[in-house]
Amino acid sequence: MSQPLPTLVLTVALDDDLLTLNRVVGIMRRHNLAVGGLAVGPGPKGGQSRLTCTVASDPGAVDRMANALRKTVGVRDVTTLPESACTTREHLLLRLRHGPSRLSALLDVLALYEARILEETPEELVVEATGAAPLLGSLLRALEPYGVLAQVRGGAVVLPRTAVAATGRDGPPVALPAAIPA
Amino acid sequence: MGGIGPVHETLSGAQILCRLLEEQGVEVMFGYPGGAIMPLYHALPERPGLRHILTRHEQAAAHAADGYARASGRPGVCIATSGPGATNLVTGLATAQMDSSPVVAITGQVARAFIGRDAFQETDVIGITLPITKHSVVVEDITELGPKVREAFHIATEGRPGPVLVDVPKDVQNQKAEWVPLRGTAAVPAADRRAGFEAPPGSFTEAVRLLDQAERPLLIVGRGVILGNAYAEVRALAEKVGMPVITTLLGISAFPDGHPLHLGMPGMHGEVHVNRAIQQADLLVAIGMRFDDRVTGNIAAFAPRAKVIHVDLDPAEIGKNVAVTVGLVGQARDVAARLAQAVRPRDCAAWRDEISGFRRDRRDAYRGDMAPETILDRIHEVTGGDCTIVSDVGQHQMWVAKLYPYQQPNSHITSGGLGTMGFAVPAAMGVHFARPGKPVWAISGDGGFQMNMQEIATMVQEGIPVKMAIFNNGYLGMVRQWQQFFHGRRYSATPIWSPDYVKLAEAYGIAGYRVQHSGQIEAAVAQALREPGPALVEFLIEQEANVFPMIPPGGSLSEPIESAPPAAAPVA
Ligand SMILES: Cc1ncc(C[n+]2csc(CCOP(=O)(O)OP(=O)(O)O)c2C)c(N)n1
Repeated sequence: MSQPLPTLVLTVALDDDLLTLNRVVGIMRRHNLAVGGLAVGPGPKGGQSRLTCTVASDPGAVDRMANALRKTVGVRDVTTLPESACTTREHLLLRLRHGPSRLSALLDVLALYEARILEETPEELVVEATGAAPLLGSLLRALEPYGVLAQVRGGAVVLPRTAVAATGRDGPPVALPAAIPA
Repeated sequence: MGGIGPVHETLSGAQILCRLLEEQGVEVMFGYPGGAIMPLYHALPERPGLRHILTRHEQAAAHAADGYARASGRPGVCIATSGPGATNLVTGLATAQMDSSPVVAITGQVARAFIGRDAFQETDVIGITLPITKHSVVVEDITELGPKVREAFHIATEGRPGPVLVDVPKDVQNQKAEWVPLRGTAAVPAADRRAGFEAPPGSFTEAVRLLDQAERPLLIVGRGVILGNAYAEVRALAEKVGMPVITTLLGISAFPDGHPLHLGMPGMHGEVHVNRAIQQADLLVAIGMRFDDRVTGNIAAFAPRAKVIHVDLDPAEIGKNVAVTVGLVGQARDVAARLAQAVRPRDCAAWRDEISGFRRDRRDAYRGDMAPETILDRIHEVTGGDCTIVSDVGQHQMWVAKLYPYQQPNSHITSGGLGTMGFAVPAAMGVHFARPGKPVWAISGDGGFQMNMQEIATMVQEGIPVKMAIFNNGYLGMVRQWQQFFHGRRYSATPIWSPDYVKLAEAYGIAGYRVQHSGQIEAAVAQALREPGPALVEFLIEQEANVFPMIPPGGSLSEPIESAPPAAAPVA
């Protein structure tokens, strides 16, 4: 058996337009790595989005993909970090069936996972939970006996734990040199 | 009235586009009209400085723009209408992308109100070309025309060059706005919207140390040296160290053939001594090349003894294909000049002697009276070497790469990365406009020639004196060779019929010659050259001539095939 592939977290700051997003996703598709949980949201600066995903792959291949992204017009920053250096959170929304007979057991499960009740009707609950992927997976398994009517899960958002990790660079950025006139 | 300030004119988008092309120094462009680009074609005749060449196919327009760009170092421009016009550009754009050629493609698009409705001749050309261009933009309003077109030219040429596509909806071409020229020499507002790179490993001083210590250093030169105009600096570096020089397919003519340090082309069809030098070297200094798999063969067995210094303008190339000891990001010219200054002078005589011992006499490999070598020697003699050779893709491409003695910088042009058959003839038209008055030879196989031979009509209509040579072996030769070597001689779909090329030439009203034995070569080449317009020379070469040596696909550079397998070899 070969070693399990390390999971890296890829964070891309990009111009906030669909064409740039298209370009970024196109490059990711072409490199054909195991990309999990893609999340796109507002970026750190105005006019920018941030795309976060996890990639379980050979680090060299992730590096090639990251470098291809760095060359792309509209991509402002690319970092890759080991998942272990980041805090990772996913967001889960659930609609659950509950009967009066099972409600208290269900509430115990939800309390254990610190899930919050957003809506409540006599038959159903809408619940939200956040956490890393394994935690949410475990919550879903725990809820199986109760009947999950619907679920929506957002891709992971990731924050590097330390300031150093945030740059993701070994050294100073290298400016792209200007062309020599012919 | 007669004020001092600049006179502002209100123009259509199409007229502004013309002004922008002029502003960017465009003198010629290659294209084909159609519905969605009609406003631009309506405006063109008002600007006689913008010469338009009507090709017979948009693919040819893209290759011609590419040929112009490669020969001139300036962006080449091609134009097409929406839908089929735009999709016909695709192969040409991918070709330019793979070989880092600055092409700007302008496509018409259906009017904005029709986009997304499957309108007549609507295609998502941006979506189609995203992965095969350096960049692409849609002009969504006439106010964006200036910034986006200027940015397109800037991106196409800055850093590592590449093709950029500008898609202009028809109604934007018809919108009206004030034309505001760039003031004075103000450069493009080059807001470089890209991420920074991690510093590549190592440093300049480390590179100098490696160079000074190496006993078997080898310089590998790629197209980056041509793009960066680094001929003198690279030569100075090689000569100071006495370091043998290898030129990749796209690096050919970056270093003069016949120079005592020049070894030749490496890789799949590299000469034995070149590949053995790589395998024996203790240091590779790679400048402006990207370790393509046709160069390295089996990566795991490539240059097993060598440390690697990789110099490239594109930081993403460093470490992409081979592990690099020191990566230096920068202009080939600057880095080579600095290295040449810093290294200690010596002559590596023992190493060069060792490589001489690897040499094989290649003459046996090219059989027959009409050996490719003989033909290329004659072309060289008759032209005095003062011409640009544009090759197509296949066996002849390898012969043209290896057997013609290139003396002048950038005198060899070919589709290396994409390996696009049909490239030579249209690209040669573009080369002509970059080097008017200089002979241009497009050398193709009988397969590749038939892919774009319609362009003879373009040459006739526009007076483009490209000389076309066809190496006719009756086969898709390179594929036939693989079938012979690796598929038990099963010549599936490789025999290819040709028309009578002399009559074809006649039909187009140009001179055509058929050469059947070596005694006729010189006269035919000389007559073709004397023709004021285009001319065609067909060389009937040995049908089953092969390109030797050959590293089998995925094989190691240490294990070349140097002769054809016996006829009864089993199917692989
Ligand atoms: C557009 C395109 N289609 C297919 C190929 C695959 N291919 C590579 S070489 C070759 C044969 C070329 O034959 P020809 O033009 O007669 O040249 P020769 O090899 O005989 O010199 C083919 C089909 C290609 N490179 N490009």
